[in-house]
Amino acid sequence: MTILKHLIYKEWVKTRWFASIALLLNLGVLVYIFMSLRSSFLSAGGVTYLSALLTYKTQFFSIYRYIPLGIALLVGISQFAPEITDKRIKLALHLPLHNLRIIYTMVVYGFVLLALCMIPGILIFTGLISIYLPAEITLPVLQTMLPWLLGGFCAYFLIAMIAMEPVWKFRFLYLLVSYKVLSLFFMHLPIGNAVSLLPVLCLVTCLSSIAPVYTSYRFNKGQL
Amino acid sequence: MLIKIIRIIAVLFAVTAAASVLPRLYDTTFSSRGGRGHKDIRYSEILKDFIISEYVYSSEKSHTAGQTIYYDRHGKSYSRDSVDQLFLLDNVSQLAYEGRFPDTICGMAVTPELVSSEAFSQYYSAQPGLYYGLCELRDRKSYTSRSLEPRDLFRITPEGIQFIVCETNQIDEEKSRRFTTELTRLDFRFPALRMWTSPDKSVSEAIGYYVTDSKNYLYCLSMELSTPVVQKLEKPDNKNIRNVNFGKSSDIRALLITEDGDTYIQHPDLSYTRLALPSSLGKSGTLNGNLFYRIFTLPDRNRQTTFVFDRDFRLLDSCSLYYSPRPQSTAGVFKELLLPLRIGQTAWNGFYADWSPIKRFIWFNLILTAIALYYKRKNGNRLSDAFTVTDLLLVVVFGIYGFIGIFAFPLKRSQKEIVKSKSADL
Repeated sequence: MTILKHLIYKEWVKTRWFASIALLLNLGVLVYIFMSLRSSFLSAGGVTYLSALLTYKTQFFSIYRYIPLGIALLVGISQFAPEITDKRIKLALHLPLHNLRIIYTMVVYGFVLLALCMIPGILIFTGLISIYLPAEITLPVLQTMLPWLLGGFCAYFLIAMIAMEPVWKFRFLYLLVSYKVLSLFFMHLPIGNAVSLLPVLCLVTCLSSIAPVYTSYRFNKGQL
Repeated sequence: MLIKIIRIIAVLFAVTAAASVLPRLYDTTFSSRGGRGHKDIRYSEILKDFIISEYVYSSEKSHTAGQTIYYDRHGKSYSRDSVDQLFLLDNVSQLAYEGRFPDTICGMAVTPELVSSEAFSQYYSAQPGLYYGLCELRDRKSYTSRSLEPRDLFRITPEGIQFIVCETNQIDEEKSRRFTTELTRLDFRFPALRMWTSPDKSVSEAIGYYVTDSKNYLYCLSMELSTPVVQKLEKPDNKNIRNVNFGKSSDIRALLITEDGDTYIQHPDLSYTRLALPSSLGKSGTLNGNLFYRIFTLPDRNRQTTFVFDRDFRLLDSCSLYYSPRPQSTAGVFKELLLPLRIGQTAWNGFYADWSPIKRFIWFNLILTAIALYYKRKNGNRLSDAFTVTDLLLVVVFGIYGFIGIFAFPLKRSQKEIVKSKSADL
């Protein structure tokens, strides 16, 4: 247990500043979207604004699309870049714990940190937009943002997978596959149109969460 | 074992990614379309038959040129000038400008104004659009006074209809009560399953909404001088409604698609005519109208079918236009050989996975499998290992995608295999 605590502390030391930036970035963008929504709502008038939203299904929050991906990059790179420099992760993998446990302590730590960076902002945002928007619009808005959030989590798992791959040519190949997989999460869909895609995206995210096991195993065994 | 299962999942991910990227990359590098381009089909009121137009490319001395050719279903060719004379209703503006517009067409006295006023075009779909459950109800008299335009949005909940004052996001209790009472009087069972209106503001004001209640009964809900106007409607052949598209011409109030895929025209007197169309489920089409006909076009993968009805909605003729499913060019043939699977997404069909004919790619896949087998043997992977066999099967089925996948995620030999191969070396 003490080893795990130390492992988590090590992760915290590596990621704390980047996670703080990610948290502020997330909150800042969401508050900006809310201010923009409020301004448009008040200047156009409630009926006109909501009617336009319902008719044109415009994404007033589209600026948020790549924020979860950016947060995943910040957390993932800050967490795994120091580990792969000079193969420092080998030190952690030689601790008297099962390798899978060590890897998943790191990955779950990153996942929780990512969730803590994104979820509070989303909850505050939901509360704020509910002042102006009825539930029939708030819910599709969240349904539209959910693929982006899942895309953030999936990107984090794929970063972990790529980071722990020992061979550069394979890293490049994984990067190409990851790009294609992630493009599924960031398709330009009208508000609420992603509902039928959500189960697929959840499945892809779950499957990507086990990907780091494969490359970390290769990393540990020095397989080329 | 777990690592190897994860690896197989990763290989399948790589196959999916490659099958969606490589065909597009190939298409941008080599033109696999062949020597034929856009095709269209129209119904001539003069010939009483279809004329197909096709844009054909020709290459001479490395210079590519294109021209439109016209022919009918029997292969008879037509010149550009003769085609203009066969589609008088479509070319009304040009013919009137040139003073060549006839006084009669098919024995009917016509004027350019009459022909233009009868022409319309609209999309329709069996797929219901995105539905928020929140709508705006325009008063029938809105066009006379802006004060009767909506100041609220409504939803139909299990408790009744609720009008939301947009400025405050609060419920207008008084108006909600009035409408709920009127709907209840006509035996409306709350909540509503679905509501439809026309995107055309004037039609939306005049007709209001078609609403299905929780028992799937159909109602028409509108508002006049701020009072509710509710009417219970018959369903076509008592079938449940899948989607409603409102009409753009005076003889079509609405186009209703039922849950079994049948298409019905609702006339202004609220009577129905069932159209002799194939099932529309999962499809979207176009409806074009002119002085004589109502023409429905249903697109499908690699083909579209056009159905011509008279003004009483009796089917006169139909014709399918095929978009060359097999490649004509060398690049197209090689594409089917090299890239056996294409994964993508279209607005019409959602996600799709298209396979080339098996005889086109299987030999190439077997060659790739032989190469993969050679490398597996060279790396000391045993053929009795289930995961080695799975790898080879992936190459047989997915060809180059599987080949890329299994080498992108290499298969680790088991300790037993390593020891065995080392002892064999010694």
